Amino acid sequence: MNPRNVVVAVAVIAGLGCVLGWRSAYLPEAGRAEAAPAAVESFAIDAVHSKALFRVHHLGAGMFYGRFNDVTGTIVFDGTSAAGPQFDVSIAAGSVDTGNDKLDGHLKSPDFFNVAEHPKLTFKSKSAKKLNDKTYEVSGDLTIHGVTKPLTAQVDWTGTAEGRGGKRCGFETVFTIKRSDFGMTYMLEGGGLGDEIRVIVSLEGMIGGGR
Amino acid sequence: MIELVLKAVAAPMLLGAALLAATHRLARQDDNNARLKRGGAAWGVALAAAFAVSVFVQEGAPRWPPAARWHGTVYAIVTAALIGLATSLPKNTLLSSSMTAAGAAIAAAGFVSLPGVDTVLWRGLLGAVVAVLALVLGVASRRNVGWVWPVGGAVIFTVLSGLFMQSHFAKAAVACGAVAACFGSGGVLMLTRLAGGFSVTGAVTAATATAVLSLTGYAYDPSGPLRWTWALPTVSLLGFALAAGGRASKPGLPRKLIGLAWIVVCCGAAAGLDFRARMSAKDKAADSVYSPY
Repeated sequence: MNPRNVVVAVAVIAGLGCVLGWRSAYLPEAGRAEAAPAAVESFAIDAVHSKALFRVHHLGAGMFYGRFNDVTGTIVFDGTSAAGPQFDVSIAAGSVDTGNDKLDGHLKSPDFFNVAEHPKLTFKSKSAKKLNDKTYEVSGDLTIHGVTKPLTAQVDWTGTAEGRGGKRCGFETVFTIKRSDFGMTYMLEGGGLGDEIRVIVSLEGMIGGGR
Repeated sequence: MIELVLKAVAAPMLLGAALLAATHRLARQDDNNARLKRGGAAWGVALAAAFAVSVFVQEGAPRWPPAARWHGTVYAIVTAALIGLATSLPKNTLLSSSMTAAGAAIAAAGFVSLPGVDTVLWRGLLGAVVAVLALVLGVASRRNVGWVWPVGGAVIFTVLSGLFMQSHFAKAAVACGAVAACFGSGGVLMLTRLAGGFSVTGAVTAATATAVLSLTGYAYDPSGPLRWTWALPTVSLLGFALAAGGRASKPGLPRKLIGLAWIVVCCGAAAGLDFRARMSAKDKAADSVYSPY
């Protein structure tokens, strides 16, 4: 083989390697959820990119939504094992936000969340079962208004990625609870506010990096 | 909402009125029954029953420990009424008033442990306020203050109800509304001679209820712009007792009116200042929507 051709071939291969290496290091990671981390890791919940929403039937007419802005905690996850993720989630009851100050004040009062006595809503998982590549059935204890009840919910793994100098993972779940089970009965009689609450929780965990 | 008002305000009010009227009727049937003749004693039981029924219509059956810490107010008020009733039965003396005041103070400090104000210091302060208020009001209860008693009580608990409503604590607002309605219905019964007058039992119950509910409002209103206004209903009751009570066994109309005016001024100031401060805070919040973050 011509030595000159060998040099050119090596240079081309090296150049391709550099380009591919740069892509994997710096380009956005969309669609790379399958590239899961191998080791079990503990992700801190990113309060900025995590939210908990709730929906309740108002006056038997419209569906009313509110949210909690301060969601913190940890997610332990390796992305591959059948054991699934472990969640330890804490929500500041005082961060309830409906877009209306008066309504927020009422929701914080003893009529509803009683923030002065019960400042946190928490969920601590006990077990998880893998249903398919993207879905787990997670069981644990949900505490609202100082009352703890067991909860089992389907949790979707929405992705794992690296960006902004850190590693991230995402989960989302939708489940329904009865507020009367947690001792919140205000306006229950007469149908002022429905008993069933649909809860939507979207979590993003991160290791290192900034928001 | 109408159903709530009927069950948590109207029904407790009717219960209180029925207790007042029934006790008075028994007393009139038996002139020798001195216990029931003094029985304005029913005032305390009526007020406590109205409050307790209203709370438990809204919150469910009573249990111990309470499901929420503010439920301790019910136990304190009912205990104060029962202590007042027990000590007023033998004879209404300064000693019995003192014992009643001490018992009510212990009940208040023991049962009422509210978030943020549950230290020994706060509970001791609450007990001391209840004791002083019950004692001074107990002395006033031995004077014939007549119609200003139920009117003054109705004003105080109407304003407490309004303050609770402004702080978004609707259940307590409704319960205070039930007590105010009980004062109102009792006043009507008094004017028509179907109920007895002011008594030491009523005094100690009203004193305990006013003090513990004022502190309850303060405790659950941490972001309230003018939290000190919660003290004004208690101050108003103290001033009323000093002004309308006095030394005369039957205070004249001017003294009664001064006592009532003091309540109206204090409670009016509490409601007005609190409303104004909340409106002002709301305006500031609205401005902040457009401020950078």
